[in-house]
Amino acid sequence: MKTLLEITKSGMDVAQRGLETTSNNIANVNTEGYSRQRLVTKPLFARNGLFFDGLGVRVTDVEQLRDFRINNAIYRKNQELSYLNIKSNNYSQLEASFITNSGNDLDTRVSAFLSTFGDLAANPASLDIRNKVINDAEQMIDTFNNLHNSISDQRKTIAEDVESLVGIINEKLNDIASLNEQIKQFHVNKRSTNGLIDKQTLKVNELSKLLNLDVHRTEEGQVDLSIKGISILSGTKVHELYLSNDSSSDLINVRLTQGGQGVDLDEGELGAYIELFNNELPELESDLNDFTDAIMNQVNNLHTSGVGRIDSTSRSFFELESTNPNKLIINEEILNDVRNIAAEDPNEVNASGNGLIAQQIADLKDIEFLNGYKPIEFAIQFISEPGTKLHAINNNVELRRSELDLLKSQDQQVSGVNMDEELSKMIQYQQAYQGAAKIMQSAQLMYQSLMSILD
Amino acid sequence: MRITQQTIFDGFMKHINDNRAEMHDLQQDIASGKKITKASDDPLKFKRARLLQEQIREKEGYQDRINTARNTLDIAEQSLQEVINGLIEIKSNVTRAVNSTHDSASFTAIKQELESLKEELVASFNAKDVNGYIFGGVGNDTQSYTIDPNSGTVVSNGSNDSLSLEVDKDLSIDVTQDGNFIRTTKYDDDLASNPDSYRSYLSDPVLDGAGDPEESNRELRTSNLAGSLVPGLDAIHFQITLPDGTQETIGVDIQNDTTHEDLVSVLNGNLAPHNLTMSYEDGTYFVTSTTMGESQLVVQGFTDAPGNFGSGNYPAFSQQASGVVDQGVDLFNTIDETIANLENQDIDALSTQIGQFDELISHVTTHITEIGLTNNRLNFLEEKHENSKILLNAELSGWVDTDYAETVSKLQRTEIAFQSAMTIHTKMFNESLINYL
Repeated sequence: MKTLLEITKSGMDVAQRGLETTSNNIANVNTEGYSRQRLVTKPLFARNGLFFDGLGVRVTDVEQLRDFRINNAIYRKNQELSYLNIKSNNYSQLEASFITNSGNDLDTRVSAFLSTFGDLAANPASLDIRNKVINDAEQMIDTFNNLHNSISDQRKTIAEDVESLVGIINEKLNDIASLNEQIKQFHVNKRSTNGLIDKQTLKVNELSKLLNLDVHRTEEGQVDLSIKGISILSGTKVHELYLSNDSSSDLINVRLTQGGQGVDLDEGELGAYIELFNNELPELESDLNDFTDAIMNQVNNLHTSGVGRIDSTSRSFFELESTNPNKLIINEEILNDVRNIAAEDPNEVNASGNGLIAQQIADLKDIEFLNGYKPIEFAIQFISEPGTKLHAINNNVELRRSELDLLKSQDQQVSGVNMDEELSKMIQYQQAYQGAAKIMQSAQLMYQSLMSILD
Repeated sequence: MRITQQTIFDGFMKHINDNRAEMHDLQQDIASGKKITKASDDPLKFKRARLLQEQIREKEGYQDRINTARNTLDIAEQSLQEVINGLIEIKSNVTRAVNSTHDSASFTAIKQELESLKEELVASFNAKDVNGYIFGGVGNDTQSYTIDPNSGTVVSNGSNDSLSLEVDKDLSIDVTQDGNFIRTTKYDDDLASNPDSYRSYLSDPVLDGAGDPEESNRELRTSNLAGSLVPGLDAIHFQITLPDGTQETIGVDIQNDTTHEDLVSVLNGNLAPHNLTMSYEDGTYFVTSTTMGESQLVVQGFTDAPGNFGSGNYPAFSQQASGVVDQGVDLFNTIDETIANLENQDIDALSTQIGQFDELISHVTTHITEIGLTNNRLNFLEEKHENSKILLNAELSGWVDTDYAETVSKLQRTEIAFQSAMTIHTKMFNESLINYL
């Protein structure tokens, strides 16, 4: 009789634990990173002569349903997607400063500047057109400067972002190290690590968006993290990252605090920032500088061979600012007196006052002096560069997002909480409890019947 | 497959977001009227559109210049019309002088009239556009013609060149007028009709008794002018009779390695002061004069000093001279001559001058016709640029402008998809086991 009560009690205990688990699953249905749990039970037996008699049921584990292979695949997609997202954001910002709604961009400005020389060729004596040449040149220079500023501002912002990002990465590495420590202790003490693993997985997931990570999970549930073979977290030991300032090269270098080893970052937000800062933005800047130099040299070569309307002095049209070798300025003498703009070819002795030099400057439009490009073509190519990259990136983002969505859906299939399923379990456990309670009631009646005999 | 509430929710959110993004893009397209506004919309179309815009700007630039050119030509035409009126007036005055009572008072009156008409003509030739005087050549901001206060003759201050405007790709037209063209009536007409009229050839060989070219001449022209090929040839001498009748002698020494091009280069240095240029083309030397006179241009070449036809001195070239070029009638010189004839009361001279004025009127009329033709050509070009612009704009519109019918229909489709997603989601989320417990 005693055994019957014990068996019933164990059934009621298990049903109660089952309801607790279900209740916990329903409570966490919307908790990010939560993996559903299931009760693992085992029947109890006792040898009775040649037979095993059932002694009820026992909870052996509350298991967490999780597929770490899917998690690892999600980490990899996170790295790729966040890398592309950062690139997409930065190129969107650049495109917004390169291409305006008004359409008055570099191509229009260069075209207007060169065309005004065509107008000057038609009216070499006109002071109005000479003033327009200066005005158009200034607007073109402003556009060049704005483009320079956009690129250098973008680099400044990136440098600041990278600094705070490295701080966040180190903080997360320390958080994961501390979770590793707790998991280890829980494991030794045979306590459930489910909640800790959830937290740890969530942290690694967050970290995987920031840089390229290789994740290795130990038997005990700890994670080791490395970047292309260089360990940044091993158990509880963190190798923090820091930015080494190399003022001479103006490049971002990320190194390990201990040992100073450089790490090769090419994925995740940090990877994207570093690639933008170290390679892609300097390339854009260099293209812009080449363009500025080419325009300056071509115009100056022709301008110095011509003469203005006051004297026969040979003058450059453009000069470089002494404090900033990338910044164009207009020759001071020309600014002071527009008649110093050289429109006339002095070699045409029979045609004094001609506009041949101005026409040659205007004709630069049709000369392929920039790696096979005509100047307007080059300007269009240049202002389209961020948009062209953005277009390709956005196509890739769509693809990666679909892949990530699929992986998340697969993860949900394994780890996600299904309300209907949990409510069914609830009814199941409820009925098991009620069944056990009914048996206990019967046992009690049996016990009372027995007692009444004694009375 | 296990589908959780989260899976349904994620799927729903993804589709709702995609729909919203598409609706946002379509709404932007409709509101802005453009489907391509930046390179990331479609890099190829964007670049193509910008290049088209540049081509449109180029056409607009040509159109602006055509308008400038037309304005200048209109002023020129108007001025030349005034010139014709002036010339008709002068001619009728001269006719009156020839046919009137021949008293000195009337000659003096007509002379004064002519002097005032001459000033009016000078004023007409000093017409200006925004760029300066249009009958003075290129970009001149000094008066094209002024009357010398001492001699009373009209002095040309302009150049012979015209200001060219590019009105189409690689097509320029002259808008200002070469001063000499107007002033001297026949000079350039002859040049235009007979460009060889003041070119002298130095190619025809002098024939020997057998009808073959003289040996030295033959060797000289077929050689590369290396001294060793022509025995004793160490110099070439030119005797030139210039169009104004004066004679010049130029000698050039020949070295062992002198080529035809070297010879031409050295000679050009010597010929330049006489307004002559020399060129060598396929065994033929040409000497060209850029000034005219009443004499013919004669050039003779010798292997020794000219006139010294002793032993070993062969004519290096024979010459084929041009005909004499008519210097034509100079408008202001003719008027000055008329004034002088009125002063001298020379009726016979005055009678012959009536024909000269007819010639002048005809010349200016021809020139006005030419301006009219240029204007027609400009009108044609402007129309051509306008048509190109229309085509380019149409192409541009095809690349970048929103196709409203297509976009609105897409918007409706997206809207239906959006509404359906909302409805089905609400319905699915309400379906749960909770409802049955």
